Amino acid sequence: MRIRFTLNGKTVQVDAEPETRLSEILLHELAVASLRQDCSEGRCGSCLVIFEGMIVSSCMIPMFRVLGTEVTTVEGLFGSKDLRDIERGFQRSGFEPCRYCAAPKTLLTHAIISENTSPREEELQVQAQAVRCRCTSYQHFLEAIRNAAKQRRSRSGDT
Amino acid sequence: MPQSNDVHEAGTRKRSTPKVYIPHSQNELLQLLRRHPESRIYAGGTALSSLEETGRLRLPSTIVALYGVDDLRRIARTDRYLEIGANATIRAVSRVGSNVIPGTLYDCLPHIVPPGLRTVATLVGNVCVPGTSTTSIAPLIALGSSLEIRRVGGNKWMTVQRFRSGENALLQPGEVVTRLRIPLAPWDAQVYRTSEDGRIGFAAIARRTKGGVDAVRIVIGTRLPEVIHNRELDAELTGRKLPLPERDIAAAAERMRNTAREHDPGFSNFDLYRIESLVSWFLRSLTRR
Repeated sequence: MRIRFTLNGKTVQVDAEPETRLSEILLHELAVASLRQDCSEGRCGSCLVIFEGMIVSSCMIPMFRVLGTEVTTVEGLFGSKDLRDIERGFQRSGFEPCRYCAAPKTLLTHAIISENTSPREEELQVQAQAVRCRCTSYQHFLEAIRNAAKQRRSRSGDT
Repeated sequence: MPQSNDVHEAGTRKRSTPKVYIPHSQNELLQLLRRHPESRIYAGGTALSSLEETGRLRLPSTIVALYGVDDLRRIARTDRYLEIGANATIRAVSRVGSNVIPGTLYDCLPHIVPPGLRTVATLVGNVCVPGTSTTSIAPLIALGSSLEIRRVGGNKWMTVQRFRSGENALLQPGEVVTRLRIPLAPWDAQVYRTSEDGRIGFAAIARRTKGGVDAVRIVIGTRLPEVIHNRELDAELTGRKLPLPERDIAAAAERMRNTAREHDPGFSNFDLYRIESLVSWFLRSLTRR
């Protein structure tokens, strides 16, 4: 089955069986370097992507579902002001995730603050659990997201 | 879409490629289900997609996907009900907010699937998947929720309790759940608690008037598809004056423990102790609230 979709703003076309995982295609067909596939059941968060504007574990998305959709990985943020806000927010918090989870935590932060630059605390606490790696403390990650949101607000002129 | 039933060299039968149908309206969906009664319905797909050692998901051979039907994403509120479409994701439901979603259900939402799947998994999907009843089933039964089941030429409403009771084998061929309806009654005490190992989901709601218990429902989800719901106990607690005497609380907790033991002989003593403790805690909390 030939599947065409948009990856990081560019149209790509792959031959895949409908039940192939999106993570598998991103890793092995499209060589997306930021992605990892660990638990393969949507728990660890190492394969997070933004799929149709929503953060989701790509290992649980079959390729038939991807037809005609838009997928963003952290590579899609490279060079953007959005990524700079997140990096500054992380630096300001002294937050340094490990190489294993830096990409999914960055993407998750982007998804959270793109939706709402003043995320509700309750919602933030649920969403931040999407990446299971505990190389840094959970509270520290929450603080980094809050700082990144603050950077985004100050850039966009919100108070 | 090509289909193959080739035989591997090792002699095992190769799994066939699933056929996927994507309807764009409810009518089209019902027609497809009539034509393909063997098909499975794909909403969020998180339960349907079981694991496989390769890079593929193991999907049923024929799938009818709901994501093309916009109607089914709708979440509507009336004076008396909250109605949730079959394709409304858990994230969309939680965004409605704790001021609208009944507390016992709202507290349960983060426990249904891992956070990375909340944007695709659906609440109705969680109700329809046979298996454990530890997450949304217990709160929905406590709240008296029902499901709209449609097929070509008709529709019916069925309570979630009846749907999960095993009498109806969930869905008949050609049928699909299109809506979940949750009554918005003014319950003033609502809780949901789950054990860290996911073996128990405890939902309890109560309404108090004039220093007494006007109505109470205690439902416990277990690793079995059916829940523990002792209606006699609910009826006995209804109409009682507050504060409940300690001996009555202990007797109610003991009864729930016995009901749980009969329901699932596989419960450990620790599970039974937890059930007893949760019932006692909730009944005591009615006085404190």
